[in-house]
Amino acid sequence: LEDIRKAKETLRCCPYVVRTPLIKLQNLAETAAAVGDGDVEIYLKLENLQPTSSFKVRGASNAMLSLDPERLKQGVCTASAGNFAQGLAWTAKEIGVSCNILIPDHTPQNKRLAMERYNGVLHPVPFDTWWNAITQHGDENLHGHFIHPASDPQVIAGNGTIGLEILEDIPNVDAVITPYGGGGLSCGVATVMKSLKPAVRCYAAEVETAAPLSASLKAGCMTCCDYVPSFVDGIGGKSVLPEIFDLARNVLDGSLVVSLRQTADAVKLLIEKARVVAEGAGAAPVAAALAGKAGLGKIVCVVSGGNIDSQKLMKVLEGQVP
Amino acid sequence: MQRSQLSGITGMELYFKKEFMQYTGSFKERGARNTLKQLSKTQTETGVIAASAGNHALALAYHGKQLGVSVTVVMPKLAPIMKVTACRDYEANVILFGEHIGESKDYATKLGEEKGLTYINGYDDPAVLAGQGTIGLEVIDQVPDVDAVVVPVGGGGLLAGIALAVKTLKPDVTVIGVESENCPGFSAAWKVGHPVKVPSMPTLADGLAVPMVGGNALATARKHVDKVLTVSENYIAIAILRLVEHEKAVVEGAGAAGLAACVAGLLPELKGKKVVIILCGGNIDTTVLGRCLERGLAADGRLCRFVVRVKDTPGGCAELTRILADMGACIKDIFHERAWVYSDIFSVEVSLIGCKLQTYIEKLL
Repeated sequence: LEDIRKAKETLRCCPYVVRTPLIKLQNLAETAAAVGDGDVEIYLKLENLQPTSSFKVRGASNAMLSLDPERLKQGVCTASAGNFAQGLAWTAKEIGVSCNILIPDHTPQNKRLAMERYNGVLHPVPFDTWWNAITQHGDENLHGHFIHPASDPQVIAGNGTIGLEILEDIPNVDAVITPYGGGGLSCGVATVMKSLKPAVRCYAAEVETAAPLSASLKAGCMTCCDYVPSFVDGIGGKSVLPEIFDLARNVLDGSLVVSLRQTADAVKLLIEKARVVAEGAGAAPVAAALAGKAGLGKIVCVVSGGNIDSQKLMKVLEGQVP
Repeated sequence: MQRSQLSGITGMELYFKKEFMQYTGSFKERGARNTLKQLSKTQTETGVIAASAGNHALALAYHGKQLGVSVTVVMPKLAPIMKVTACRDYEANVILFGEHIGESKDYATKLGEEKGLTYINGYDDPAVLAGQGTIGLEVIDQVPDVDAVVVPVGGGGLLAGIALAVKTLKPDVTVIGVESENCPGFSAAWKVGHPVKVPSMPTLADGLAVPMVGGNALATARKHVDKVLTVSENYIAIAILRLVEHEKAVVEGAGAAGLAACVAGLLPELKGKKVVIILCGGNIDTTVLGRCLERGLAADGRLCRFVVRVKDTPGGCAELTRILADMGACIKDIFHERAWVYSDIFSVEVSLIGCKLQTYIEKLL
C-alpha cells in the first residue's frame, strides 16, 4: 500500500496521467432485468480516457519516474504488443528518452503503427523468444531499462492508484471488477481494497475463450487453459504469470468469466448509454456486472482501455461479434 | 480539460468541453434545468410543454422528473425511436405529431395555450440561454488562457449563451460558430440582421437542423460572435471518426461540427492557438454512427472500393482473395456480378470494399 500511496504522489505531479472520471452507468432498465430486481448500481472508471487510451500510462509513468534519473536517460524497454507498449512509448517520448519494444513477429500492422507513432523502436522476434522475455523479465539484446508490463512492482503500484481514486469518489463501494490479462491491474487495485476496505469484493473479469485465472483458481494451482484468439486482445492468455498468481489469489475474490457475445454487447452498450468507446477487455467487467455475476450494490467496473480497431467496432455496432 | 491528442492533426492546442457526458447526453440539460427552476409555483404545478426531436426533449423530461414538474413533449413523427423511448422512460407525456419540427412546434404552442402549459423554447428562452452560458463560465475557469472557443450552431442558444459569458469575462477571446452547410440558418440571419427561414436538407448534424434561428439568440449572439461558418457533411463524418479513434468519445454530428471545421482547415488563423471546442452532444443513432465511421474511413483512404474482372472459373475469386490476404488486407464486402459484364462470357466482375491502409491500396492498384 505504501508503494501505491507513493505512486499516487508521483502521478499527481506528472503531466502524463490524468485523474479519470468515475461515472454512473445511466438508463439501465436492462440491469434490473438482468440482475433480478436487485439493488445494483454500475459505475465506470474510465481509464480509456487516459493518454494513449488505456490505464497503462499509470504503471509506465510510475516505473519510469521512480528510476534514478541517470538510469532513465539511457532509455527503457519492454516486451509487449499492446497497450503497455503504447503507454510506455508515449510516456518515454514525452519525457524524452528512447523506448525499445520487443514484439512477436505476427503483430498486426495497425498495432505496429500505433507503437511507432509514439517513437517506439520495434524489435520483432519469434513468439517463443518474446514469451521468454516475459517470463525471464528481459532480453539481453534489448537496450534500456526493462520494465515488465505486468509484474514490475512499480507498474503494479501505478495501477493501484486507480483503487485509491475509486475509494475517494465512492467511499461506500461494494465491489470492483478489473479485466485480468497479465494481472497487474487486478493486483494493484485489489491490494488497495484489501488494505483499506477489506469488505469490498474484488473480482477479475476474463473471457471464456481464454480464462487462465479462472482455471487456476478452480484447480487451486497454476494451470494452463485452452486459448482461442478473439477480438478481445487485451486480456486472455494460455496461463497466468507465476509471480502474479500468488498475489492474485490472495487479494481477489474470484474471476468472473464472460462470453464474447456478452463482451461485444457491453461494448455496444457503453457506446449507446455512456457515449464512450471501450475495447473488448475494457468492456468485460461491465459485461460481468450486467450479467449479475458480481452481485448487488455499488459496483465499479474499470474500463481499462479503448483501443479497438474501427473495423471491429463497426461489426459491434451492427450487433455482431467481431 | 486536458490537452487533446488531436492537437497534432489540427496544428492547434485543442481542448474539448465534453457536454456529451451529461446524463441525457447533451448540454441542453443546463438550459432546461435553469428554466424549470425559475418557474412560478403555478407554472410548476400546471406543467411545461416543448417541441423537440431530440436533446431538448430528453433534457426537459429528465429534469422535469427530477424536479416534479410535468413535462409534455411534442416530437415529429419521424423522431428517432431511441429518443422517443428515452423520453417516455423519464415519464414525460410524449405526443408524436408533425411531418417536421415546424409542425410539431405549432401544435405544441396551440396545445400549450389550450391547457395553460408553459412553452419552453429550447434555443431561445432567456433562461435557457443563461443556462447554456454557464458552459462559457466553465471554459474560462478551466482554460484561463484560451484564445478561441468554437461552438456548434443550431437555433443559436448555445452560441449566444457562451459568447455572452466569454466576451464579458475575456473580450479578447475569439468566439466562432459552426453550422452544417445543409442548414445555414444563422449565417443567413447574420447577413440580413433578423431570423430568416432557410431550406433545411437532411444532415448528419440533425441537432443543428433548425431552419430559423431564435430571435433572442441572434440578438444576443450578434454583439459578441466574431464569425460563423458552415461545414460539409463529409467533414462532420470524419470528425466523428477522429473523436471515436483518438478521444474514445461518441459524439453526434452536431457535437462534431466544431472539430469538423478545424479538420477541414477552415480556421487556419487558429493554428498554434489554444482552442476550446464544445462537443455539445453524443446522442447519435447506432446505425448512423456505423455509417459515419465508414464514411470517415473511406475519406481517409483506409476503406477502398474497386471493381475487378476475374475468370468465371473455379479458383478465379480464390486467387484474388489470396492476393489480398497475403497483403494483409481484409475484405468487408464482395459482390459478384455476371449479367452486366460485356467482355467475354467467361469473366465475372467482382466489386470489393476492403479495409487497409493507403500504401497497400496503392500497391494493389
